[in-house]
Amino acid sequence: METGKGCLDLENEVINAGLCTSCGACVNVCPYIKVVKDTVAVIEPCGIAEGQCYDSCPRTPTDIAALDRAVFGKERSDSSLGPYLSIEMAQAGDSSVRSRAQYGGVVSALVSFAMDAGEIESAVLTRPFDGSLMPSPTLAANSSGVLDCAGSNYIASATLAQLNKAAKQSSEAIGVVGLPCQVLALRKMQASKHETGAEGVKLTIGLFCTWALSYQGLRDFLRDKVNASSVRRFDIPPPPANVMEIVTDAGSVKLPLDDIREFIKPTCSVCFDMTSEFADISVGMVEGIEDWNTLIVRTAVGKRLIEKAKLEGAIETKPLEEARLDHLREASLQKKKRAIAEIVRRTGDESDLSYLRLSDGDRRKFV
Amino acid sequence: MSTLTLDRPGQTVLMMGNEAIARGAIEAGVDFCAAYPGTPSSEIPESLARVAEHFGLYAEWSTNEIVALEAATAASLAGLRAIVAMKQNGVNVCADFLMTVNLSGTKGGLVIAACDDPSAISSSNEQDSRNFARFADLPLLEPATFQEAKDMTKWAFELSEKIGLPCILRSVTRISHSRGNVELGEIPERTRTAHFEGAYISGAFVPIQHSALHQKLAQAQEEFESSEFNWYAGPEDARFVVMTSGSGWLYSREAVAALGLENEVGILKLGTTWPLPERYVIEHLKRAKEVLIVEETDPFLEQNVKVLLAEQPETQDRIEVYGAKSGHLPGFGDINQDKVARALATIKGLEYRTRDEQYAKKAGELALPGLPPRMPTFCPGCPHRASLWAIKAALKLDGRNGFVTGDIGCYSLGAGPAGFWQLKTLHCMGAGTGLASGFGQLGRFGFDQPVVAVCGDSTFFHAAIPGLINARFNNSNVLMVVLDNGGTAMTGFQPHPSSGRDAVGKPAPVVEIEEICKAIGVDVAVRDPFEVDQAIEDLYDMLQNDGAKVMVFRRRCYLVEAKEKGKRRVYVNAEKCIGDDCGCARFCSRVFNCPGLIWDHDAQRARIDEVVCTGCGVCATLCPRGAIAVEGDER
Amino acid sequence: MKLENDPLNLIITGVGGQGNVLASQIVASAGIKEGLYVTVGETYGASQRGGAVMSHVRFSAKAQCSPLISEGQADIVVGMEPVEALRVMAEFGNAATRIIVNPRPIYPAWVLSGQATYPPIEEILGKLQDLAESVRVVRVAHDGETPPPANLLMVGALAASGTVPMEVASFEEAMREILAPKDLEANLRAFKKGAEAMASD
Repeated sequence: METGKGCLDLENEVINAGLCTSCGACVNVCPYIKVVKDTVAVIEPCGIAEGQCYDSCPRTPTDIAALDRAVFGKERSDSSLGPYLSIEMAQAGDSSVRSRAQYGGVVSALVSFAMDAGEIESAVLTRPFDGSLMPSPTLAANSSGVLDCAGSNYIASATLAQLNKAAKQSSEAIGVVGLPCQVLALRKMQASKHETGAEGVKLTIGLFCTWALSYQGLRDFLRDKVNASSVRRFDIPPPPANVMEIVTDAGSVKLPLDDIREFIKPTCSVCFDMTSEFADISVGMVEGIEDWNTLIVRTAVGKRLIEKAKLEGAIETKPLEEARLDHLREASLQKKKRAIAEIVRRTGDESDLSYLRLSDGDRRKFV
Repeated sequence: MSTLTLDRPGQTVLMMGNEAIARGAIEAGVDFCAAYPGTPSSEIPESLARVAEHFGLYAEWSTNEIVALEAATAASLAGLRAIVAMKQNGVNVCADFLMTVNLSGTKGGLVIAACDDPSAISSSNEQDSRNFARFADLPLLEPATFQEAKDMTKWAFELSEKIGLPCILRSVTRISHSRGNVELGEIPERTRTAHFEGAYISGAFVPIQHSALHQKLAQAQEEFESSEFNWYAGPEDARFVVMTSGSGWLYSREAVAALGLENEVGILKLGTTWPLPERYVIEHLKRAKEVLIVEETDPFLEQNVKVLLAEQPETQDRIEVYGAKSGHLPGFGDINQDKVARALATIKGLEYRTRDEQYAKKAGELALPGLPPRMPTFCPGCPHRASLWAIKAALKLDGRNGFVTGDIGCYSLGAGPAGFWQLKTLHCMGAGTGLASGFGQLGRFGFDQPVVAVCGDSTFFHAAIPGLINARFNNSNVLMVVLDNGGTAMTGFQPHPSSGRDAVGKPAPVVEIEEICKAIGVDVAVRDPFEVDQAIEDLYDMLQNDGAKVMVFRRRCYLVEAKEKGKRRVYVNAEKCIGDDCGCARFCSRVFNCPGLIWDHDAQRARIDEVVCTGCGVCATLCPRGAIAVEGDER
Repeated sequence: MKLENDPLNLIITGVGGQGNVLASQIVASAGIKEGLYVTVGETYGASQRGGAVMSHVRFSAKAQCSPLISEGQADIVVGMEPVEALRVMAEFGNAATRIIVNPRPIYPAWVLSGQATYPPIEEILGKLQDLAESVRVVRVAHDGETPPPANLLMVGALAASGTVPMEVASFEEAMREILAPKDLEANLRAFKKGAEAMASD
């Protein structure tokens, strides 16, 4: 999309407005923008009026229908879950992968499989815990590197800032695993007229996400509650538990979810996407079932990989019950409605949906 | 053979003023030299250190000027001859000891070479250190030529020894850093051995000691009355006298000649200016009606002469005195023959022109428009450029309007474009840390900005440690960043306590900066500023913590590194370089702005200037496209 | 020795890092060897840091001169860098000034950062020509290798230019005394290259 805007606009409209998701897209090839932890800043204006930083950002104006056409060749028919070809339950074929993973291990299994099958050379991933609360983006080139990134952390990191590193190491085929905002940014990078470093991305696996936490707030909150350097896992058990469980080397701590919600990044409450609607494949949990994932196949690229992976036993699948699918669709719809209500609250104008450019038809469904 | 060791009395050689001072000390048989480097004084101790082994004398770089003076005084108290050298700010550092050692007195000849920097060519202030001689009641000598710089230094040792007081030799940049003819004298055998006896106590019966000090000064004054360093040149009955000292002598002589006034204007040149040789001065002013006083920088001589004239009997005719007070000379900045000539011309009602007016107009119009300014910047390969970029980035990421308190060293340039305008305060050695320790206490008054104090490795030892201890003791919120480039770079990369070598180049024990910080009890980390992204992240992390903490950015000055280890070739892969496009916009040459990175206008690509580049390779890590590579280190 | 102009005023100008101080020291030593009074005034507060550097070298058969040349009183200007030569002419030049200039530019930080532009070399040389009695350009082919150090190159050109009263042998003797033995060979080569460039000019 041609926006005619650059880094100062990004600073004003996104960073200073509290909308930055710290996805790392703007940082990726730019020496003027830096990220540390989940904080992004324009260190010095580059002087270019129109930049890929603005174009790529998941919180600058985004025409959903146009992006649908660019990625899927047509506009969506399911306004809750976005375009998809199939939805099933899945788990890693290898139980040792499952044991390292948070749920069914499908993401780790698929990335490793794509590498082994020669579909990708390296993958931009996020290591959830690396001796710190803060997850660290990494570039993995083999399945042990992939397994190190199994598990999830509720803090968002600048994963896309690794793309340029991958591109510099002249990987021709890169896989990316990201949150919905990161997948959205990646698609915008690919649609940009600038060289963004996303040209070599051949596989995009998106994760489900309801919100992410800001690093600094959470760190300060947990300071006297857990030893940050030994955190192994964050978990939110299904309702009605209403807690976050933090597992460390020394045992686990349960904290009221309402306390944790304080640290949800302000940008997450305007997020429209729960299921990574622009990914090739989206993967999430299945509520109440420990060792299975929900698997949404969206593109032909995704479909081909999944079929191969099933055939070779990398993953196993089974149908997702209708009731669960309805529940998923409802949850996604509710996130969209909440986001739009929050955007309207912030803009004070029902016709101003901030970064979202929706068709009138879609708009009516969510407002 | 070095002109310092050349044993050919009578031979004339080219010497820098500072070398001439060192040679004078050698001709006085100096035993001991201590100093902290400072422009324009550093070549005095450097010269002596270079020949220390040859002559069996001792030379050291001290941690600061007061320690240097104390160390040198110890040698004097043990009967040796000793010299200390410092820039004007160093005299301030010495002041406390100076104001007591005058009372206790000294034994072996002790010379304090104070080198002032009029116009602050390489300083953060300009001050006239002669005021310290009057303040401390110490004898003051001012060399006017290179020859005098040598001869006067030699005599200063004799005078000091004779009256039992340190003697201040005051030079200025235009003497210290200029070169000229010096006729060598004899180099004596050094025969002294050190032995201490008696007592040198300042503080016992102070008023009596003070009175004794005045007696000693009167003794110096008597010596000055017949000093060969004072002379009069010009017509015997001149009604107009230019009175001058130090650098003013050569300027005055040329100004008088340029105006063709040799037959009516006399020049009274004084080399001994405190205490004034009163009889000598009055004798040479008795026929004068007008006096122009020419000196750098304060009206020091001017005031003393005015006091002297006021003390003369009423029968004496009034003399009109011109100088800084009358506005004929500035009283600030440096002087030159043109300024003196213009002053003379104004008083005399003459016209002074140095060149044809038409030509001057043409030269100005033709040469200057469109001429790019050449501001000083960090050298190619300087670690400070990367360090200050990291500081700028960390403060911007932090987002609380943090700022940097500056200090004295190469990195002082960080107050300007070379350091991305990061330094917001700049005063004297150690001031950055002291100021930061104060800012860090202001949270209780609503102050919410983080404060970063930068200081060099040498400055750390010189003056920043007390500020850091203060910050720790009083629990101030300060992030001190030590810009450790491995030497006292600003003045010529002299060694300091963590350099691992001493003034004569021998291995020395290493005093580790981070160990000192640990002992003080502050968090300390050591990082390489050339690993820019890591440096930014770690600095940002430290900024999030309360209390006093220290980041040492350690990377050796690459000019020195390249000189010692040879240059690596750095080159640009023009195919990868994206130049002005989005994703770079000439970051390397336009923003990072290392002089070794140039912009090829024809190709619209970055290029390395192979003459200027030192091969540090930091640009290779900064280039977003990986277009810059170091030969043999390609990734 | 008697000088036609007494004092004879020479300015050597360049950029910090080019070795101005060494150049002026060698020229001055050569003068002293021939029995002259020589004074060198340096402006090098920021010499290693890319600033403009200027040495005033003054020869006299009669007396020690002050370390600074008066406005408009330069007899000879040696420009190790073309823009700096022009800058010096604006303040110290006169119609009889003779210029020897190295045409290789060193771009100031502001030019590199795009805040200022560097004038075309031919334009600078044209302006110098307009302001001086003579301009001699020291052009050295450097066959792909690193160019010779500008300071000794220009000292060589000066020595061979006939504008200063000292013999070439005095320059070489001064170099042998001042330079470290390990640097002598390369510097003598640069000196000869400069002298040859002047001779073939």
